[in-house]
Amino acid sequence: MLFNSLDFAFFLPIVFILYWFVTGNLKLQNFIIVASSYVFYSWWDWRFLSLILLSTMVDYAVGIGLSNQKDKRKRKMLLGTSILVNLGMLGFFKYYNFFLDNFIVAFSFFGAKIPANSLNIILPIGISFYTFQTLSYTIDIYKQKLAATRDFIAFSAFVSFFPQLVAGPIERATHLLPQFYTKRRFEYSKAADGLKQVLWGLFKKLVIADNCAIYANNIFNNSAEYSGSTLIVGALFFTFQIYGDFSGYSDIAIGISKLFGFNLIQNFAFPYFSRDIAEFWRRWHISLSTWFRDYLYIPLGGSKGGTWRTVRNIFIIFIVSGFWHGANWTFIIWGALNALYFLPLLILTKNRNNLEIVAKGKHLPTVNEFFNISMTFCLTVLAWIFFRVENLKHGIGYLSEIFSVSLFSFPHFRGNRESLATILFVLGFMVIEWIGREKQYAIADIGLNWPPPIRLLFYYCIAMVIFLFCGQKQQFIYFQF
Amino acid sequence: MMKKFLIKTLLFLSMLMISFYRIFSHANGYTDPYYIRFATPRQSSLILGTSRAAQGLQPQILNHELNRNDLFNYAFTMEHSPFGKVYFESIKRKLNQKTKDGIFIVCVDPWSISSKSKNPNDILNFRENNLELGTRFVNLTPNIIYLLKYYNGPYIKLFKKDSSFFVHDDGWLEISVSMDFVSKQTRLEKKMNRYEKEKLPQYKFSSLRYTYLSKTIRYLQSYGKVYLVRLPIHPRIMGIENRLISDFTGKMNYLCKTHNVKYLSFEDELLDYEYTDGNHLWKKSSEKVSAKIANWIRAD
Repeated sequence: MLFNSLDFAFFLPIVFILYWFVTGNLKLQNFIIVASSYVFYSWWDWRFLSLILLSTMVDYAVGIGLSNQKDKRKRKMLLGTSILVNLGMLGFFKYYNFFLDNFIVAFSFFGAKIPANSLNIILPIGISFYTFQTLSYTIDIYKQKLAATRDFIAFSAFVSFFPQLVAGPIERATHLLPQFYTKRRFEYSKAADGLKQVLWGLFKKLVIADNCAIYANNIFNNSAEYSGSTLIVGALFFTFQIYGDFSGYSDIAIGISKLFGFNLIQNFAFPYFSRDIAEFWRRWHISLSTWFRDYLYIPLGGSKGGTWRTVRNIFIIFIVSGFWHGANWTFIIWGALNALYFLPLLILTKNRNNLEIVAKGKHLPTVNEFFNISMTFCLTVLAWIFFRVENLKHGIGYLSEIFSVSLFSFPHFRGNRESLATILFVLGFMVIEWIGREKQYAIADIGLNWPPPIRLLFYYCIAMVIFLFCGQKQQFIYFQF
Repeated sequence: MMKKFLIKTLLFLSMLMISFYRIFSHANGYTDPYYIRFATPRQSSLILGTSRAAQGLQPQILNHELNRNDLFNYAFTMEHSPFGKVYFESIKRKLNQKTKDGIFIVCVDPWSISSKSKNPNDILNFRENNLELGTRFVNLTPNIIYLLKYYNGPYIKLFKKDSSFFVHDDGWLEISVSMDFVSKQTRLEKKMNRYEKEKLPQYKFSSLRYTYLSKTIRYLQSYGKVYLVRLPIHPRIMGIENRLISDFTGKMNYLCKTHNVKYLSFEDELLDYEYTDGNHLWKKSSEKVSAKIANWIRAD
């Protein structure tokens, strides 16, 4: 079920009313969340519900096992079981064909022919998200940062919580699970804030991402026909498409969670205003970056083992992060490219220079800040090309055309006149994002001091813009991960 | 608190719903080539078939010649409305069940009884399965469900009126294109190329679709008289069609015999008409063809 579908427009109010109708009965509220989450997931394909159930049961049992076990070796075995089951599922459904195809290519390079057929595997939606979320639970118990839960319903709700089940934010058990134990009372201001964030998320997805997708898809799918300058425009459209799409989804997920009394972590913090790549990665898909930092980078030694070891660890987490997005070499290159961007900052120990949001408390950035933002943005746009292309050949061809003389021609593509409206929307959107960059989402504080009718009119206008200018219906990009 | 939240939210949503409804009310014949067919009441006499019939048969002329006022064009495209379960069910929804003396002009061509799936009778993979004709709501004005589910593009376009097509209230799809020799020839070559290289190798006769055509005729006979028509097309496209199903006329004659219906084919007078792209009649020619069909029906 998509957040921007008619089905969901009926589903959400029903669950909302049922949920708050039983206020005070925590178990029943959690049960309603589990049941509605399973319905939400089954809408896509009920057969894959079994994977969520398997992951839930295994990690619930492993959690209890870990809390009862003192023996180090047995504790390791229990954690290994959880990792094997979760990553095994992920590996089979997401990476089986990739590894098989690459083994065949590698062996045929040495003259050996391997008779093997790819399997026709459907990728279960959201598998990369919920496996990582449940893994955080068992790892944190293993590290004794968290006590195992005995409440199976609360744990099931944590694993399958429908607002963030299929595309995150990837929540930590330490943050989300305790919220399922706490009595939830309806708070007007929180719910209203949630609705506002949903509205903004819908704007990002339906107006920005879906409209940019029309031109990005056209240019990327027919890249051989276009000049270097047009390909740059295509990459720019994709840059805003992916931001609108994914951060829009996160806003909707966080907003809906607020309607049910939950707080999810902020997943995007205005990444396109970053002054360097390190800052970009602190602001983009925060829940995944911090997951890799805590469960991969730090266990590998982080930055504590000398320069070369740190460089190695940086490459590992960026490449694994790229691979997490999809079983394709293009994602690996995208990850490696970001690691390369990161490297100079790391070597010069400048990777923690920009911790605060740019131009805090000011209207405009300094010239230097503006230059840094622009440079970081350009590097990001270049990297996104590898994220979007079909394969390496496509990516190399795309980049070669960009760095050719055709870069100096005037961009021209099918629908370039119609795209002007989209460009204006993107510009307006970036202005609002700039104004609201110190908040959790851009319109969080806009209009709070206005008289209620004006504020209402403002939200009404956003809703009407969404309705009138929503682009062709597109799947959320991150559903495929 | 909850009460206040619900009241405010409902008020806000009501405001939006009213605005959305008013915007949807602007949907008309310029919206897309199908909308009007789903935004009109149930009908008692229908023109059925693919885009050839959608553009080539004008209910206004037929009604005038036959002294009626109820003929409605419910033909779509080769992708949307080949004969099969989807079209059959949609016809049932569109037809006024109280009809006794309706007229049903069923336009046939080889594509409408062919499939491009590996197994031409694999109903689960029929090309029309997930398209607009799957909607259960074919008689709503404005048809909000259709607009929400199938309308592709921003709703701001509902206010636009400049378009190369217009669907009249009687369902006729009027196309306005340049008819100078070069434009016509370019479109014909493009169409030929597509039919020859893309469509012909993929499509195969489907006995299941043929059965559905037979079923459709039988069903419509309970509500009035059925006439089978093969509309004129450019001779070069006719050549491709004859390669797709070589005994097409024989198959139609068999249906006529089985159901006791009449069949009119324009195969012998293809050069008497003008086509926009070889496959569709130009509106001036469609007037002539509509009048000719009306005379044929009247003579029956």
